[in-house]
Amino acid sequence: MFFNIKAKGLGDRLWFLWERSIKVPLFGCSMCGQCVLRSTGLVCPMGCPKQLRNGPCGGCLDGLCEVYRHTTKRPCAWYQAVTRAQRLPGQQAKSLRWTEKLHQINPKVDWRLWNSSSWLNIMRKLIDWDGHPLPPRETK
Amino acid sequence: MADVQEAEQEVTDPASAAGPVSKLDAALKAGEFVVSVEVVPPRIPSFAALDKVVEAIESVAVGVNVTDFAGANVRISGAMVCKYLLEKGVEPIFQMTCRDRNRLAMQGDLLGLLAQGLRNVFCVSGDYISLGDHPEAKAVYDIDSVNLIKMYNDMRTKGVFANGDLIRETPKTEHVIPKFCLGGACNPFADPFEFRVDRLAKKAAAGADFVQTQCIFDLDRFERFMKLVCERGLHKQIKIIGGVMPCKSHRPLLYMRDNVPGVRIPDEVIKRLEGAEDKKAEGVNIAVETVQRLRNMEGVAGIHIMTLSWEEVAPILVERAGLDKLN
Repeated sequence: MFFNIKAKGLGDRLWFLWERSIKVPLFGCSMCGQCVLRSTGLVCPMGCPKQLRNGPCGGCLDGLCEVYRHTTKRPCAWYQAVTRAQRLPGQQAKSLRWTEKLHQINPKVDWRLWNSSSWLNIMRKLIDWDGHPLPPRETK
Repeated sequence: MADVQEAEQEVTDPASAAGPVSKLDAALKAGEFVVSVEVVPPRIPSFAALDKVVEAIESVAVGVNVTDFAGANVRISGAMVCKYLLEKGVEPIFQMTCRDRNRLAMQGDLLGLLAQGLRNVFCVSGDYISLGDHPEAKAVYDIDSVNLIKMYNDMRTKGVFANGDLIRETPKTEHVIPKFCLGGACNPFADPFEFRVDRLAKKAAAGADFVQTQCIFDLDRFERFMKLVCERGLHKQIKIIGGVMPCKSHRPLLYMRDNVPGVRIPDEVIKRLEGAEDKKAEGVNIAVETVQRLRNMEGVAGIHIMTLSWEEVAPILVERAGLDKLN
C-alpha cells in the first residue's frame, strides 16, 4: 500500500526485518501490522485477494480461490484456515481455542498500520493480542 | 469517546424503535413470502432499457435488486439506477460491493441514496476485479462485507459513522439516525460447507435483517444448509431469501458453472434442460419446481429472481408457482 510516513528509528526497522523474516516464509505474511493469525487457524487472511478477515467469500469452490481457480489453482485462504484450525492441537486451552476464534468478528483494518510490526504494535498497545485495534490512550 | 457514549444513550430512546421502513421490511416482518427481482443496469448512457424491465416486474416484486457493477463489469452505477427507480415509484434494493468503494464512499453513497428515499441496502464482497471486463484494474476491499454490515448497522442503530462521530452537520445541529433495511449475501454452495452457517451467523450478529442467496440449482445441498441453519435457530434472527434463476437454455448454465464464481449446478439440471424440446418452457418448469420446494422448506422467507435479462419470466414464474395468490 504505502510506506509509513512516520520516520522509523533503526531499532524499529531491525525489528521489522526480523519479524518479516519469520512471518513471511511461515505464513506468507503481508505485514499488515495487526496480526489476526491467532484467530484464523494460523493462516494469514491477508493472503486472500479480497483481504477478507471474516470468513470466505462466496467464490470458494472445491477449496480453491475464485481468482486463481482456472490458473494456478491456489487454495482459498479461509478454506485452509477452517481446515487447519480443526487440526491444530490445544483446542481446549483458554488462550488458543482455534475453532472458536474463527467465529469472532474481526474489526475493520486500520490501514495506517500497514508495513509495521504487529509485535511492536502489541507492545505499544496499538492492537490487542487478537490483532484488533485498541482505542488511543488518553493524553493529558 | 463522548460521542459514542452519547450515541449509546440514544439507542435506549423508545422513539427510535419504529415500524417498518420499507415495503420489503414490512413484508419480512409480517412473515410474508417475499419476491424480489434483480435488474442489471444498462451499459449505455440511457435509462430507456430499464422502463421495459420495470413494467414487467413491477406487479410481482416487493423490491428490485439493483446490482452494482455485477461481475466486475462496467455499467451505469447502481446508485444512479436506484435514484431512477425511486423516481419511477419502484422500491429498489441497492447492492453495495466492497470491491469498488472505500469506507468514505460507502457511507457517502448511502447518505445520498437515503436522501433520495432509498430504504433497502444489500452488502456483498463482490466478484474479484480480475474476473470482470477490466481485469487490470485495482480492487479496493477497504473493509469486508461483515464489517460493511456492521458499519451500516451502527449508522442506523446508534447514528454514528465508522469513526464514531455522530451523524450531524455540526455539534449544534440535530443528530440524525437514518432508518433502513439491511441485507447481506449468502452462498450455501461455496466451501467450506459448515462454515457457511457460521458466516451467516456472523452476518446476523453484525446486524443484517435478511440475506439473499446465490442462485439455487442444487436443492439437496440447500436443504442440508437450511437444516443446519434451523438447528441453530438462525432463521429467527435473519430472514433467508433463496435465489432462483430461470434459464432459457442449458448454455448459460454451462457458462456459469465454469466461469461464474460460487455457482454449483448439478449435471442432472443441465442434462434435463439440454434434452428438453421446448427449452424455455423447461427452464420455467425447473424454476417453478425450485420455488415450490423452497416454499415447503423451513426458514425460507422468500425468493429472489435473477433473470439474466429475461425479466418477462418473473410474472410467469410467480403465477405458475402460485405466489400471486399468497399475499
